[in-house]
This record gives sequence, C-alpha cells and structure tokens, in this order.
Amino acid sequence: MKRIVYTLILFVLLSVSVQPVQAGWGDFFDENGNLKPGVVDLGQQKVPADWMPDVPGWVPDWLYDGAATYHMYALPSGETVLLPSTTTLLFMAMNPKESGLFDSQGYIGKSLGFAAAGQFNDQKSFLANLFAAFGFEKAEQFADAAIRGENVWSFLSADTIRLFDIARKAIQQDRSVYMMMLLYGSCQNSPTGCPQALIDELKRRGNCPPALCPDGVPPGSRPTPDRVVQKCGAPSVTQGKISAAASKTAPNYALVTGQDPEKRGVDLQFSLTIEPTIYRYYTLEERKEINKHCVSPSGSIVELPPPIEQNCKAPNRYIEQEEEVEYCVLHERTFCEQARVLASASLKKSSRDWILNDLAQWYPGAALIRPDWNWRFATSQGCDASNTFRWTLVQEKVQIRDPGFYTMSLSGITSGTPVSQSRSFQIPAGEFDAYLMMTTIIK
Amino acid sequence: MEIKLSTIKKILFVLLAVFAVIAAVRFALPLLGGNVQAETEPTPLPDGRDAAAAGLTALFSVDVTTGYDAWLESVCAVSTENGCAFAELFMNWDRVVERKIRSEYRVQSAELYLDKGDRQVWKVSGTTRNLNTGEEQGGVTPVLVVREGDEWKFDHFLFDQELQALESEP
Repeated sequence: MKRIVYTLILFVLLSVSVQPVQAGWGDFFDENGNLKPGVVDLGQQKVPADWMPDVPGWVPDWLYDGAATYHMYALPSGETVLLPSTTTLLFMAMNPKESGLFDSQGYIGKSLGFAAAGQFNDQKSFLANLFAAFGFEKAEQFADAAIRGENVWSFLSADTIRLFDIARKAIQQDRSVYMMMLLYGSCQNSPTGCPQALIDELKRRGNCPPALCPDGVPPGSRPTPDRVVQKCGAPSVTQGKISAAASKTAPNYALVTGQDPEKRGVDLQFSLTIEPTIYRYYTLEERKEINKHCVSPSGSIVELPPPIEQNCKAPNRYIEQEEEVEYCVLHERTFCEQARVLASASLKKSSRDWILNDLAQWYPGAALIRPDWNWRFATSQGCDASNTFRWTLVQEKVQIRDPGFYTMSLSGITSGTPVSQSRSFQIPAGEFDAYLMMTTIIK
Repeated sequence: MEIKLSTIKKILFVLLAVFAVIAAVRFALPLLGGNVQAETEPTPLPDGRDAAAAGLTALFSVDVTTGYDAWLESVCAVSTENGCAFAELFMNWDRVVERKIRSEYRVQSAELYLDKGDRQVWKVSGTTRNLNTGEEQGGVTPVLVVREGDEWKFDHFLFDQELQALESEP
C-alpha cells in the first residue's frame, strides 16, 4: 500500500511542470515517476539527529524517539534521494543548516499548492515557501529566524497551538506523509549517511564503489570476493565499547535547595566514550619473490640450510627463480561512531518512598517536587584523532529539591558508521546524594 | 404594681412587638445556620490540572490488544484538535505491535508551572508501568493545556526547546 502511495506521489510530483536543475533526478525516476531499474529502495530509515527537538528521557520511544525519519532511495554511485516524513521536514525547516536541508543539491515539492525544483540559491525564499506550504502565517519571520539559527519555537506563539494540526492537515491534503524529495550528491553528505543496508545491497550486486566500501574492490580487476573470502577470511566489524561515568564533584555534603540559602547546589559531571568501530578486511595481493634453489645433476631440489647460494656446492647447481606469490594483507579502518546523548539523574525509589511515607508523617504535605533531571547539551563532544567519540557534560550548581540518593545514567542512540548500524544504549553511570537536615528531640 | 393602657396603645404595643420579633428572626436565623436562601457566589473556573493528567494518562497508556483506534479515540476525547493531531503524528504503532506493548500511566502529582491565561503549562509527575514486565519508568513531563470555552483540554507534552520558548515569552 505504501509503495502505491509513493508511486502516486512521485507521479504527481514529476507530472508537475518543474524545471530540472539536477541531472540526478532522471537517474532515479522515469517520466512517469516510476523507480528506474538499478535504484536501491532502502525503505524507511530512522536516524538519530541532534537537531530534532528533545523530550524527557522517559517518554516512551514508541511515541517519540528523537530520530529523523526518511524514505530513502540510492543509486549505486551513492547519489541519494530522501523523502523526509512531515514532522521530520517540519523540524528540518526549523533547523535548516544543522539538519542538512541546505546541503541538498536539489528538491521537488508539491504540497498545499507549493511546487518547486531547484537548488538552494535563495535560502530565505525557499524556507519561507516551505513554512507557508505548511500553513504558517508568519512564514518569512520563521524563515529569517531559522536561518539565523534562533529557536524558531519562540516565534510560534500564535501558531504553536495548532502546529501539529497544521502538519496533519498538510498530510491529509497531500495524501502522503512525504511532502518533499531532497537530492544529495552522495549518501555520505546526506542526513542518513550511507546505511549498512545500502552497502550490503551494493556489495551483493558487486558494484560498490571504493568511496562507499572500505574494501572497494572493482569486480574483475582484482581478486574476486569469493577468492578473498576463501583464502583470507571474511571481513569483520567490531563495534567500539560504549562506556559511561558520572560523579558528584562538589560539595561533599550537598543540601536540598530549601536548606541551601547560598544556592550552592551540587556539581555533577558526566562522560561518555565510544571507542572506534573497527572494520577489518583482507586483500589478496601478489608479489614477486626470488626463490633460491640448489639443484642436483638429476634435476631434483637439494634441501640445504641458508644461505643456499653459499652451501650449494658442485656438482649441484645454484639457481634463482622469480615467482609470483599470493598472500593476504590485513587492513583495518576505524570509524568514529557519534551519539545523541541524554544525561539523567533520578531519585531512587527507596528515597521516593521515604519522602512520600516517612517524611510525610513528620512533615504533612511532603511530596516529590523534582525527582528527575535531564540534560541534553554537552559541554564538549567530538571525535579525537583515534576516532574515539567523547561526550562530556559539566553541570554546576544543580538545585536539588528532593533529598535522597540519585542514580545517574547516560542514554541515547548512536549515529552508526558506514559499516555498522546505529544502536541505542542506557548505562548506569554513578550515584550522588542530597541531604536534608532534620531536628530530632532526643529523649 | 398595675399598668393601665388604652386600647390604641395596646394595639400599637402589639404591632411593635410583632415587628421586633420578625426583625429579630430575620437577623438571627442566618447566624444560627437556618435554612435561608444564600446569595449565589460565582463558580471558580477549574484549572488545567485534570486536563493535563487525563491527557497524559491517555497518551502514555497503550494496549496492543485494544488497538490503535481505541488508543487514539481515548486521547482525542480529552484533547484539543492540535493534541489529537500530535498523538496521530508521533505515535509509532508498528513499534507497539512489534513489542506487544501494554502500558499504564499513573499520575502522582501535578504542579502549575506557567500560567498564560488561556494556556497553562503543568509539570506532571507520573510513572508508566509496562503491564507485561512490571517495569516502571517515570518522571516529570511538562504538559500544555489549552482553555476552550469553559473547559480545559490537553494539548501536548512540550519539547524542551518549546518549553524554553514559553519560559522566555513576555
């Protein structure tokens, strides 16, 4: 059914009289909007994205997972067409630079009467058209804010009340969850990257270019993949270990906000490390070697200890033969696997129970005020020279409201690498405590 | 001692006494809790607490056995049009089916965080319980409710960036 919808929308899109500016479109679709033979249909791809809006970490991922969603098509050469879902497109429009919207080399869109094709020569008008296509009243203002990298939500006060209703209406009007197609010169430059499924498919077809396949061996010109596998062993991928640590750095005895008049709070530190993903593969290579032999008068080879040329005496004869020898060469490539990370601190259940039961007996009305904390934005993050991803967060003077013991954890989803798929993680990383001073009469 | 009064004086005295008794009764009864008609006071408008709790409960409580339509209907029954669209756009029911999810959300407390007249932001504390495994996960969720007429309705839970924008709104 979905395929019919895609075909329908592609047909409609390509039937629109648009001026083609990117030769790549014709490589994907024929004049009727049908997919051309050879195009790889990768289906729906979900990709973790920093620019997607954040929600508290405990919101179930079946409702919102913070991932951008696209339907993806690719050519063996790596050129890629992405169809972002409506909500993904909406959030891309709010973050046009970070999301890679402006990195696209062409687009076709028809939604709410909006149809265009071309390159992003005029970013503002493109973006304003897109917001207008969604149905926003202050489309130009939103476009300006988005290009300046400001929080577009701040400008949505009038429209935010009906933001999602607008998006739903856009889908209903378009009769598709996809309002726009984006063309990228290579999957490597696209928001999805090059999914493992694409590389697997291209390898299966035997035409994976070196730019996409680390062991990119053009068929025919080098040892065949079968021969490499048979003699040298299959390539392997080892995903890097994900480790996390978190701690309270100061003060030794943190007090809850109500008893902390100086608002000292508590200083916390989180760190996450993802070791590089290692791709190991072999190539069967040939080299010329000089073999030294000692030959008897009858023609048989005489076994002698080296150096053969000196130990080979008459009547035997010393000869040198040039031979081509095949051998396996192990290659290693490392990839940095980045991640979208959420740092959390959560009051332990035992402390919650203590507040709600024991403390509430002494202080009627005692309740949980803010037992859960989340932080999204890192103090620093990035890949180092060894392709290890490091994410750190230093959060100072956190004003803890509820006393007790807190567990600290790091969770998130990785971007994957060209040779491995993304993965999610949730790692307990440490604990800290916040104190409540109480007065007790000792009888 | 004997007091003599004329007939007119007697009548006037009786009328005065009756008037005094009526006045006393009318004045004293309300103080004694008597059944007199009280003046009607304006009924205070409810705030959005119940709407926030009901909306989040419907949104986070799913049952793969009752299906998507039943879930969406329960959300839309307590939501604005926008809230209904929010649920429709973001729900990944394939994932619910794949994991055979049955969950129940319970609200523990709710605190009014921002009051913008016809819009309120409530910080709702609650827990989602996986009915298959018993596992619980919860925390504070900022929720936007919107007043439609005399009724508050659930709109959606807020994204962090959206909440920041609302906080900085004049």
